[in-house]
Amino acid sequence: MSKNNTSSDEQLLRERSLAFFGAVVASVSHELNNVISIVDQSSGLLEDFALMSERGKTPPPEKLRLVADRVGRQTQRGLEIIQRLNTFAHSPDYPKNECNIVDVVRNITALSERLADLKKVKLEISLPDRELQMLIDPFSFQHLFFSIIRRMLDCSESGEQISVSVVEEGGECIVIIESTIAKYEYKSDELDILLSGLVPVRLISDSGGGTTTITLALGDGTA
Amino acid sequence: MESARVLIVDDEKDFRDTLSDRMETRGMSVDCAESGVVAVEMVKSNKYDAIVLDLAMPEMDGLETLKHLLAYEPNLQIIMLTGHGSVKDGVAAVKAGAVDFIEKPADIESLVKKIHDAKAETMARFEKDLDDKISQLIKRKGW
Repeated sequence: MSKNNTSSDEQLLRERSLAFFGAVVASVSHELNNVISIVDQSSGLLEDFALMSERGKTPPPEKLRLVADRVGRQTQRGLEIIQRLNTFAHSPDYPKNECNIVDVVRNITALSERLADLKKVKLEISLPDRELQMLIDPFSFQHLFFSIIRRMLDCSESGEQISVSVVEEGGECIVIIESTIAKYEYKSDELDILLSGLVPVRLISDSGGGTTTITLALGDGTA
Repeated sequence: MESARVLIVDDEKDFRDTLSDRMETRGMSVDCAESGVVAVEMVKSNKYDAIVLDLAMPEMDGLETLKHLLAYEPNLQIIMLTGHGSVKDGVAAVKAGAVDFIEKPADIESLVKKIHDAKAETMARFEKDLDDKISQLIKRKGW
């Protein structure tokens, strides 16, 4: 590879990695804003109830309980979102790291859920109970995964489905992304090739019978 | 002024329920819709003084819903709810026909004021239409 190709590859990676990071953070910040809005309005509603009580109109206990449940539910949701974002934000810390692929896939799939929801596409996930440790670049893996999901969603219509699963086969960890999205046809691009080299992972695509399957094979026999 | 009738359109149930409760404690009559599609159907069978419409919703987003609603009734008073720091989105909504916008988390008193302003605008338009019709009738009759 010539010096010019390497520096343009680096430029492409840098720009697209920043865009990926930004896309995930923007999506999370929007979801967190919804959580805060609900907690904010709930706090305001309790204030309204306090004012009503001062004027002799006490709200029924079940109303107060509903508000308490709502705040509890949204606080839990907010904590989960923050946990996911924190895990994601730390993934570039170590470019080559022993990672539990199950956790990595779980996290990046959860971070992609809002984008799937906006398109009314069902994003299903099936994960093994045990850990699957692999030496990978976790940030590049998540970038590749997100890029594939996003391109599928760009072609999707309401009611379609993407299924994500992780299995172990012959010492390799296999991440399978399967879609029934009629208009989607996988086309490998320069970024896919670069990221596959960095992770490292073998990317195999297969289309047939109305289904497109992308297989990411991590482990023995990868590039 | 008679109490305002409002439609809240947002895909988050907890947000709809909380905002609805707060508006009702302020004497408003509130309906809720969980999507743009439902909102369009509700507007066809009910009269609202104001519609509070979330921008980011699945399937049919706020801007798309706005266009459908205004195509049905161009004088609808629609207040767009945008994300925090999304002034650009709010301005786009106003250019597309919303009467105003407010960023989440929304200050309730500001939102209530916008709703009352929207109702006042609707009433002013109604009175003007009525005046115009009376003037035309007088002219036709030669009174």
